[in-house]
Amino acid sequence: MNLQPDSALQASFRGKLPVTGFNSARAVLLERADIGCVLLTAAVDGAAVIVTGSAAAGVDLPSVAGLITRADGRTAMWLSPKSWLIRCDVEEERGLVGRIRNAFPDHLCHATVFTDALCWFELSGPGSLELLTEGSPISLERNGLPVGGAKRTLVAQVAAIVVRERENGWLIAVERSRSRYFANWLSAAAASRE
Amino acid sequence: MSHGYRLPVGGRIDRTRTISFTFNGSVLKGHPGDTLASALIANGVNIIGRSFKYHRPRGFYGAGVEDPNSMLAVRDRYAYEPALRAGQVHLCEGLEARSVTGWPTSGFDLAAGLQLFSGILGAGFYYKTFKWPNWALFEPLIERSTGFGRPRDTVETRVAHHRHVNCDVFIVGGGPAGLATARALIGSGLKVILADDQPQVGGSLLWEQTGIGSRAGDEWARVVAVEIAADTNMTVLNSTIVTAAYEGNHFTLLQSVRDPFGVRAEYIWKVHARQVVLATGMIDRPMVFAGNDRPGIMLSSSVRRLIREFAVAPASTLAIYTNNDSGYLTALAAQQAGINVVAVVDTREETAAVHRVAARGAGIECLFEAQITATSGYRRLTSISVCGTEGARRRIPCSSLAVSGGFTPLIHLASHRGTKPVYDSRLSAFLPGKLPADWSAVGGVAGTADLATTLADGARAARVLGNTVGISIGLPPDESVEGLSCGTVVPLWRPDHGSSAEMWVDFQNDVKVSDVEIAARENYVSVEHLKRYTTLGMGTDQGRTSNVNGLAIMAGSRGVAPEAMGTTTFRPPYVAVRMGTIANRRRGDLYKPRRLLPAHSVHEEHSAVFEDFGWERPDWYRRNGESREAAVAAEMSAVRDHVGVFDSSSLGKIEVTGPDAAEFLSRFYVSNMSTLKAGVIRYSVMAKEDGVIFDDGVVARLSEYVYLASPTSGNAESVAAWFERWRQTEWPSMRVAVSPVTSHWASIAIAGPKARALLAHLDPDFDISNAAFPHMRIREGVIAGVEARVARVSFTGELQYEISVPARYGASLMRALLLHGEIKPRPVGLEAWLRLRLEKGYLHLGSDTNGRTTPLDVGMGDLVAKRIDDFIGKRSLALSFARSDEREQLVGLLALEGALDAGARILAPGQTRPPCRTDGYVTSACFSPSVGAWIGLALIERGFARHGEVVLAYSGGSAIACRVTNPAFYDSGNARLHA
Repeated sequence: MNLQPDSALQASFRGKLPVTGFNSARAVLLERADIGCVLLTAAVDGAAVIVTGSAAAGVDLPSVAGLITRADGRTAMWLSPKSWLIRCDVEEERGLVGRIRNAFPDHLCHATVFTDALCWFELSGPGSLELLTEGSPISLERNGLPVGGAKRTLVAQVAAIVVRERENGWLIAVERSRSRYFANWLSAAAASRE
Repeated sequence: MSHGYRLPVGGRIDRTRTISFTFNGSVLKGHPGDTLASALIANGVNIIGRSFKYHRPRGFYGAGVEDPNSMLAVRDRYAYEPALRAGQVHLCEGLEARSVTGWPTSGFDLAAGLQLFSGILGAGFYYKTFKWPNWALFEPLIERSTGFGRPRDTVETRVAHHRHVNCDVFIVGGGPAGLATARALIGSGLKVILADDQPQVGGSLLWEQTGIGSRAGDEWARVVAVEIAADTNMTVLNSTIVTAAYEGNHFTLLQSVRDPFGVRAEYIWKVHARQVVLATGMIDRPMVFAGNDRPGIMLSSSVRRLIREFAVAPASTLAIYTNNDSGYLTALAAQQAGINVVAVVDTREETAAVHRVAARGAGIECLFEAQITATSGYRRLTSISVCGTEGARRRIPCSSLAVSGGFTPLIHLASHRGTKPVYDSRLSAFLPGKLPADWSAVGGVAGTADLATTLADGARAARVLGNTVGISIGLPPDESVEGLSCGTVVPLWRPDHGSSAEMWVDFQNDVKVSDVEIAARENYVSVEHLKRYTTLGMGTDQGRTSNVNGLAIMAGSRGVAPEAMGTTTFRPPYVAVRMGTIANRRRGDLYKPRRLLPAHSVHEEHSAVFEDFGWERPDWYRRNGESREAAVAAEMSAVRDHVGVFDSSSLGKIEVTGPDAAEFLSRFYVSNMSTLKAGVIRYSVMAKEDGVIFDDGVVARLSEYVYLASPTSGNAESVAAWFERWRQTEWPSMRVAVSPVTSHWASIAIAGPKARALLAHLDPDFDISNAAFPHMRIREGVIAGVEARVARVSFTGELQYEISVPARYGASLMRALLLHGEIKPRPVGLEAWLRLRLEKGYLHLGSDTNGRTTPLDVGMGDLVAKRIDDFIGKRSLALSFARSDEREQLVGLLALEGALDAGARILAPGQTRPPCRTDGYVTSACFSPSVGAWIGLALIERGFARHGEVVLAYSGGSAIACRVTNPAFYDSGNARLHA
C-alpha cells in the first residue's frame, strides 16, 4: 500500500488551488502546495558555511536580513544569522537535502526538509495590500518591504513569512497547523470588505 | 420648549435635504451636516438627561466631545450604541436617540428627589452613610439609580476593520495648526498622515470669523485640503479620532465610515510614526458660580460653533459670562445672527477687554468687574443675577448663557506618553511639558490662541522636522491673517459670591465646590485623592471641563498655586471604543489561532470530540461509546487488549545537530545524552537553573551528529527557544544547530498487543521483530511507500510504536491504520491515553509536577547522583532544600473505598477533616479498569518513606482512605513493554 499526500488545507498536493471560502472582487488567494522548502541551520558562524552551502544548494545564501536570492528556480531567504529557508519545487526537496548533507558530513550545516512544516499562500490583486495590513503591523510600503524582499512578522496573530513577489503579489507562509485558521481569517476579512 | 431655532441663513448644513430622526420616540427633522446635538437644539430640545447623583436636569453644555451632559443611546441602521455624546453623532436618516438617564423620563425624573438629601450625599458619603444595618441593603437601589446606557441584544451589521500603517509624519488634528504644518510638507516626499475627528478638516476655521490671505478661513481650509489630497504621499483621515498614544510613537485611531444611514464601518488604525505633530487644539473652560449647571448654560465657543457651523441658535436671548476676550467673539457672532445678546458679564477690569468697543458698538451692554451670583430656572435658565464692584445686584432675564472661564489645551495624548503638564500662568492653563522625542506641539494645545502665530508655528514645525530628516522645507509665502483675538485670561477659580453648595465643578458626577471643600477638610488634598474621593473627573468626559477648575479650587483651599497641585494622568482611550471594533473578527472560531492536527479531517470522520489543548485534539470519539466515560473505557480496553491508534503529532520534534550536539543536549537533561548510541532512545527530564522540572520527553539519536529531541506538546516551542537561548548567550562556541521541525511531521502512535501486526500492514522496509527492534529504539526507513521515522517508545505501558511521516501523509496514514479490516483498531483520544499512562505510573508534566517539583521529587535521585558532569539545575539540586526529606514526593495512591479526585488534599496523620494540616495533594486520578479500583498519583511530604501507609484524601466534603504505593499500577515488571 502507498500513502497519499494532501496539502495543508486538504486539497490536492502539488497544486496551485483557489482557497475554498475566499471570495473577493479585489484579491485572489491560492494555496501553493507546489512549493518545497529546505531549512538550513548552521552549527557554526553563518559566514563559515555560506560558500559551501550556496554551492551545494545551487543558490547563493543571503547574508543580510530581508534579502532573497534566486537561481534556477530556487530562492533562498535569510531567517537568522545562522539559518536560511530555501524554496524549491517540491519534487526537488529530498535531492537538495541530500546534496547539502553530502557537502557537510559533520553537519556543520544541517539541512532538513521543511516543506510540510509550512503552508504557502499566494495573495494577489489590488486589494491584497489592504487585506494584509488588516492583520499585520509590518511595513509594506516604500523602503519597508520592496518587491523581491521578505520579512517575518505576525499576520492575524499567526507568525508568517511574507514575500513580496510583485507590487500586488505576495507569498505568505504560515506554520501548517495554523493554515486553516489563517485562510479563514483572510476569507472573513475579504468578505466583510465587499 | 420652543426656545431654540434654526437660523434662516448660514451654517454648513445642506438645507435642500431633510433628515428624519427620533428622540425619545418623537419624530424630529434635521439636515445633512447636523450633528445630533445641533439638530436637537434646533428642534427646541432642552433637557436631554439627568446628572449622575442628584438627577438634576441637564441640557447641552458643548457642541462636541467636550460636552459632559449629552450622553444618549443611539441606534442607526447598522448598530446600537448605549452611550454616545450627541455632538459626536452625525445625523443620519432613521436615527433613533434616547436619553439614558431619568425615570420615567429625562424630562420628569422621580429620582430628582435625591436633591433633598444632598446634605448627606456629599463627597465620600458612601464611606460614612448607608452602613446600618447593612450596606448590602442599599447597594442594589444605589446601583439602579446610577449608570449610563442600557445594553441591548441586537443584531448589528456594522463591520470592523483594522489597518496598520507606518509614516514619516503623523499630524494629530486638522485645524489651522495641523493644516499649516501639513501644507508646508506638501511636495516634501515625506509620507504624512493627518487625522481629524470631523468629516472635513478645518477645525475652528469652519466656524470662526477669520481670513487668511484673500480667503475666508473655511475656504482656506478647503483649498489646503485639496492641495494635500493631490500629494500622493499624504493621507487625510477624516472622522478619525486618535484614541491613544503609546511607546515608540505608536497610535491607535478610530475612524468612522458613514453613509446616509449611519456608521457603516469602523476602522481601527494603528499608526507608527517617525515624527509627531500634536495639533489637537483647546476647548473652553467653564466658569464656576452659583447655579452654573442649569439647562441653557453652554460653553462659549460651542455657542459660536452652533451658530456658524450648524445655523442653530441656542436661545432667543443670550448672556455672556467670561474672564477673557473670547466671550466677546460669541457676543458678536450671536448679535450678527439676530440673537438678542442682553449682556456681556466680564469679571475683569474694563481696560483688559480688547473687544469692548466692538461689543458696545454692536449695542451689547458690557459689565466689568462683575460676577454672576445666582441663576434661576430649574428646567431652563430664566435669568442671571449679577453683582458689580459696588455691590449693586441686578437681575438680567435670559434663556441662555455662554460661559468662558479660559481655555484648556487638549494635552491628553502627550499625557498618555507620560508627559507631565506644566502650568502656564499667562494662559492659566496646563500645557504639555517635556514632549516625547520626535514630538512637537503647535497651536492651541501649545497655548497659542492667536491664528497668525498658529499658522506660522505650524509652518515652522514642518521646517524643523524636515531638517531632522535632511529635507529642506520652505517657509510659506506671507499672508495676511484676520481674526479677532481671544485676548488675555484673568482666572476666577472661586467666585466671591454664592454658596459653594450651589456651585458645580463636575456636571456629570454632581461634584460641587462644597465637595472639594469637604475633601480639603478631610485631608484628601492631593489631586489624586481629590479625584477619587469626590469623583471629580471620573465621568465619561474624563474631566475635560472639570479637572482644572477642581484642582484650582483645591489649591485655593490649601493656599497654594494651581501648579503646585499637579494633575491626574489622562489614560487611553481618549474616547470610548467599542469592544467589537477592537475585537474585529477575533470572535468565535477566529478568536485565536487554532492549531489543527494533520489528520484533523480523519478525526472528524470518526466523530472525535475535540478539546483545545493548545492544539485541537480528540478528547474521545463518539463512535467508541454513547457517553464520554463509555467511550474512554472502550478506548482504554482497545489499547490494553487489542490495538489503539492515537494522534501524537503535536509532540515536539527538534533536530539538534552538529559535532557538539551530544554534549549540548547533555547539559540540558538530567540523563547523560552523550552516551546515547545511534538508533537508541532515552527518556529524561530537563530542569531550569533552580532545579525545577521544565520539561520531560525522549531524545533519540538518529546518527553520529543528528539527535531528535521530543519535548511535550505544550513546550515544543519553548524548549526550542530554551535551547537557542543557551546556545546563543552561554555557549556560542558550541558547534550545534537547533532546527524545530514539529509541524513537518505527523506522528501516529499505535499501542497494544496487536501493534506490531498493524505496523507490519504498512510494509516497513526494516525488520520490526522484537529482537531486531526492541523497546526504546528508533528506525528510519520507508513505510507504506514514504519516508518515515518509527520509534518504539511507550506512554501507555503497552507495546507501542510512534510512526512519523511528513505531515502531507498524516491523514492518509491515520485513515490507512483505522481502516484495517482484519485488525480493526480503535481511535483513542487524549483522555484515555492519559488514564493509560496513569495506570503505568508515568509522569504527566503540569499535572504531576508543579512550580516546585524537581527530578529528586519524582524519583530520579539515582540518575542525578550518577551525573558527574554538569547540567542545568544540578547545582540547585545539591542544595539542602532540594534534598530535604520533608519535600513533596511523587507516589501512587490506591483508593480503598470510593472515588478519588485529582486535587484532593492529603490530610496529615491523625486528621479527619479540614481545617487541618495537609501533607500534599492528588495530582492525577481515574478509575482503572486494569486494577479494578480508583488510582492516582500524589505529591506527598516524605512520600518515598510512606509506602504502605493509609492516608485520607479529602475532596468535596468527603475523605477517602487510600494506600500509598509505588506509582506503577500496571505491569510493574514491564513485560508488556518488551513484548
